Amino acid sequence: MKAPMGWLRDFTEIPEDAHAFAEAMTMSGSKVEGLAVSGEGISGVATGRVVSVAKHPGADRLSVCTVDCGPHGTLQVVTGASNVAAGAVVPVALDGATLADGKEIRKGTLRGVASDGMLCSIQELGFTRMEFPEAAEDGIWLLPAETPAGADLREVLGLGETTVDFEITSNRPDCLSVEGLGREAAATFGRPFRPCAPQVREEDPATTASLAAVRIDAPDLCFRYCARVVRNVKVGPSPEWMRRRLRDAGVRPISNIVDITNYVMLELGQPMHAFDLSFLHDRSVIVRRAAEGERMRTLDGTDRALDPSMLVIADPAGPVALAGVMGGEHSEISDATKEILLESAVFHGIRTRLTAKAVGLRTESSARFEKGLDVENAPRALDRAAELIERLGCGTVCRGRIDVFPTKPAPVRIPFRPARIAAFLGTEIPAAEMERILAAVGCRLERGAPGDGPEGAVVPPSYRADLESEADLAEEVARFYGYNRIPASLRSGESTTIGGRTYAQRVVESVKDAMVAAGFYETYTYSFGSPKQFDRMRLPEGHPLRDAVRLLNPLGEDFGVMRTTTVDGLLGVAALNASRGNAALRIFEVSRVYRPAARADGLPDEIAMLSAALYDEAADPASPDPFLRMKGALEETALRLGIPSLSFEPLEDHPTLHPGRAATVRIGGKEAGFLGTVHPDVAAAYEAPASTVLMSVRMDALEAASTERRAAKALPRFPAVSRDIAVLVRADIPVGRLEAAIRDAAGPLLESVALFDVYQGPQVREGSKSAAFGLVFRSSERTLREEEVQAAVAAVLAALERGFGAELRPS
Amino acid sequence: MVDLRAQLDEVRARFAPECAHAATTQEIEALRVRYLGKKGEITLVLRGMGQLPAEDRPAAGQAANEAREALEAALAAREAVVAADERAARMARERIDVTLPGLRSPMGARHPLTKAIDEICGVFLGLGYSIAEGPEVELDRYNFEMLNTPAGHPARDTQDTFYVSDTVLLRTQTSPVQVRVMESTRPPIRIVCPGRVYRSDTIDATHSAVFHQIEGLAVDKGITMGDLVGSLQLYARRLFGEGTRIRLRPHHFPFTEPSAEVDVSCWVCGGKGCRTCKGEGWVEMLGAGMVHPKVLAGCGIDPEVYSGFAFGIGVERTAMARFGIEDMRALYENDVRFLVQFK
Repeated sequence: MKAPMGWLRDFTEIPEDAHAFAEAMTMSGSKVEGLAVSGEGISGVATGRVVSVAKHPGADRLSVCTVDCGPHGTLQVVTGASNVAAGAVVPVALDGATLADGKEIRKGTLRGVASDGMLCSIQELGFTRMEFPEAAEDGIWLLPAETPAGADLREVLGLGETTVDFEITSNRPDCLSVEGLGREAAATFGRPFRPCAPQVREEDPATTASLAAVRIDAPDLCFRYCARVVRNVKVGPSPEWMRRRLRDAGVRPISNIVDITNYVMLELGQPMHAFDLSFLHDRSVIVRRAAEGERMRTLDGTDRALDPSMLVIADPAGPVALAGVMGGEHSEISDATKEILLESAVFHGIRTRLTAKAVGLRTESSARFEKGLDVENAPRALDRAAELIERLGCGTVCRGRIDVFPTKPAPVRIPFRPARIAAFLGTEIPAAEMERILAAVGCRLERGAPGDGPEGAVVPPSYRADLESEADLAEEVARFYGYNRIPASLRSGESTTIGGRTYAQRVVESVKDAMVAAGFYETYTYSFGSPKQFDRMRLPEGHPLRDAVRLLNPLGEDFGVMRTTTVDGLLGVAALNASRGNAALRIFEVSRVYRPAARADGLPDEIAMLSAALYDEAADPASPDPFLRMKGALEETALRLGIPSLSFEPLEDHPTLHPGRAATVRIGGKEAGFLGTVHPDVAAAYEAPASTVLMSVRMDALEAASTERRAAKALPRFPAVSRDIAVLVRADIPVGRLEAAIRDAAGPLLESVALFDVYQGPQVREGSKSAAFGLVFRSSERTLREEEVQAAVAAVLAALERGFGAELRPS
Repeated sequence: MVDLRAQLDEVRARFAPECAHAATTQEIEALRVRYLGKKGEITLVLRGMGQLPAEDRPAAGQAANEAREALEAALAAREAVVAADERAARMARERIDVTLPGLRSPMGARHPLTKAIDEICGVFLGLGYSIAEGPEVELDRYNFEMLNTPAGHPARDTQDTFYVSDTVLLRTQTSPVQVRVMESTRPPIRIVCPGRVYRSDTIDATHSAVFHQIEGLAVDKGITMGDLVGSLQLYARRLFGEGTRIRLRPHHFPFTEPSAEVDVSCWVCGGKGCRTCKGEGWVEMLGAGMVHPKVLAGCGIDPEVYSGFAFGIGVERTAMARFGIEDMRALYENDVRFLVQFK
């Protein structure tokens, strides 16, 4: 809402210093977005009367004008514009002038002819025809002929006014008006407030009621409809003071009647409409729902389809306005208009908003109606418009108003409990100060009605529908007392809470710690993506992960589905990093996937996953190292969570993964996720490195198996005996099975077993590999004897031979 | 007797220069064997003692022992010197270039958004708050209706919402978590709710369709707006430094009353005005207020008995301020060269 400071001064005294004013208003709740001074950038521009225009001797397109600039002398100015003729009054940028874009104008010569300045167009002065519709679109701005020559253009145009741009929150439609902001200013600075109190002379002897009729058929959507008839209308331009205020407030001046309706809307916050009464059938207005299939052409020339959810102003022949949104073209005011019906009505806020949205027309008018307007303001605004019509002499106002007011709202009474308000705010504001503040915002304090309580009740004014409860009164008190005078306290209530993270939250912290320690960077990826991701991931039709939560109104096709897996995001990050020349990457995130579910509340399951990706472009493509690096990180993470072991099984049929380089991750036998090198086709689809390894494990599975308990065991007192064995087996036998067999066969003395070498190559038989394990034996009760160790190793070798045909390799 | 002494003297005289010139521990060991070993020269001299008359033997023995001890002492002294030299020489050979790069097991890092969440939550965890979480795909009822924002409410206009169906949406704020907690928990309640939220904003340097908020909520008997001010002041000082001031400006949120926007004194210029604060001296950081009585009542908490405050902190904004990140998109791009800066 743009409010010129001079207009605000109609309602109260305000400080000269615009910045101090803005600061104080912001701190009392009317946030100032900006200050603008009209014509701020221009200086040194005067009016000049063109005396003669001659052709430029050296350039066809240029003219040489002699311009009388009064006290600035008669100047010779070269111009390229073709709309200048002798007698025209034009803006002349004198030597040293500054234009709106900061350009300085200097004397000079143009194609050999001296030019003392420059004739200006409206654009060069920083305006558009929005503000000065009578200015020429192209060429030099031709000012009204009666404008004196040699005057400062800023004075001629009434520039220099400071306009304050306020951000108005949706609960304060009363502040979408200069008067409302004036009231706030008066309360902020503790000055008297002078409300608008229009006086209408009603010089036309005819009564409004005899000339027009209004009926409300939809009282649920139209709470009040006031109207006046004005006759002998003379449509013409409105006076400069009004045009200036409209301009400064950002509204285009059009003609007196339209300008008056706009002026009143800006001043009092009540949108108004003027119908050409001669075009209303039976001189009557019906406020009703639109009929199915009904159409109307609005003021902007658009033909619109209506439906019964929409409220229209109609005459017996059909709709003449879309209530609260826009008038109809048919009954629009024209230069020929002689008789008008002025409408000042209050329509249902939400309904108006939905209609405006449905037809795609959000107007100054609908923006006010949608917030819920004051039924008491409508007749006053109507009178203000009538008063202005009389003052401007653009018509005669008939006697009386039509006022259809089917349902009067019940007044709100809020018990006044100043001690409670003070305690709620944590202050000691005295009751008298509260009363003063509440009075300044228009509240009345009443005593004696039943239920009022010992200190009476506060009756908010009709324009403050947002004041409903004690908390609302507390806010009024606090914002004028000063939010920043409220003493800070570090208590918060009477009882204490222990707080802290839940177990599940601590597990997340541990997982992040472990992954970071393993060299992984945490990422944040979008939780929605393109439905094409399922194809890129090679998920076949009907795959459960294709069943995704779909957005009705996504930002675009590429953001249309909630992810069912984190793979798409991770591969996207891998591809981005690879494309930017980052040779290696390790990333992880703990984030949610969203899977449609048959839940009672209709919401999908949101499952937290630990997901990771890594690649190393320097690694040998045949090397298992990237896979093993990821596996190791997961194993270390499991240890950090107190999970003693994970198991990994070959996973050959995951569509996204390399069939020979993927594993199902199991925790305690239960499937928890997967780990694997990305399938070459998937890597290609994402343009991610072929060495990319993915991992994804459910957080709930990790959490269920985790423990925070750590029990220390005494360190061994007896020495360990180490034995290394190397066996030759078929190349396709997983070492994990050999290791498991060793553990089974070695007996209780085995402390640990670790694979330390796998060899396949010329030194061993084709189709075989050598696997070397380090075995450590120890007893907690005594020093082991050589025979005991030998017996255990023999048992191990026998088991390996039996189970896998393993041969002992001589070491 | 005299003879034997002379022999010993002669041996010692020969020994002295050799010992003094011994340059290595091996040479010293060789001298030890030659003079003091089983067949060493002192030993040989001592063997001659058997031929002495019995009365001379004690004196001779003493002389021989003296000689042995003298030689041993000399060898030990020399050995200490030589060993020290050798150690010094070895250490000189063992010298390394300490400017060689360290052998590292590089760690990764938490994302800057996580760091901001950790810092913010850390302040409130220390004040007895718990962390609450809730669904991101949320019911309209929790995201809007129970937050005093019924269908058609103009405040819904400012939050462009992604819908899944008429009643299900992507939450536009973390506030529905406080409703869920208030519905299921009796006061006292002190929670912070960090989480991901969604608005259909076009993605640019300062907007993202996916972003993060932290909602804070305290509900108990006797909570005042002064408590809110104090809590936020502490928060601002912990996050932005001890001298930080806060400023509350009245504002409107449907679910708080009174409501405020909260500015923090600029952490770059301290309030004098600079590029970061656009010359204002203050930077808008969060929204806050006293929980609206309708919201309390809707969750079955009697607003005549209980009161509460709530605040909402933008995580992206905090992280960008904290780490000087200029383009929000960098946070979701995950270029590792960006992430590596947050170790």
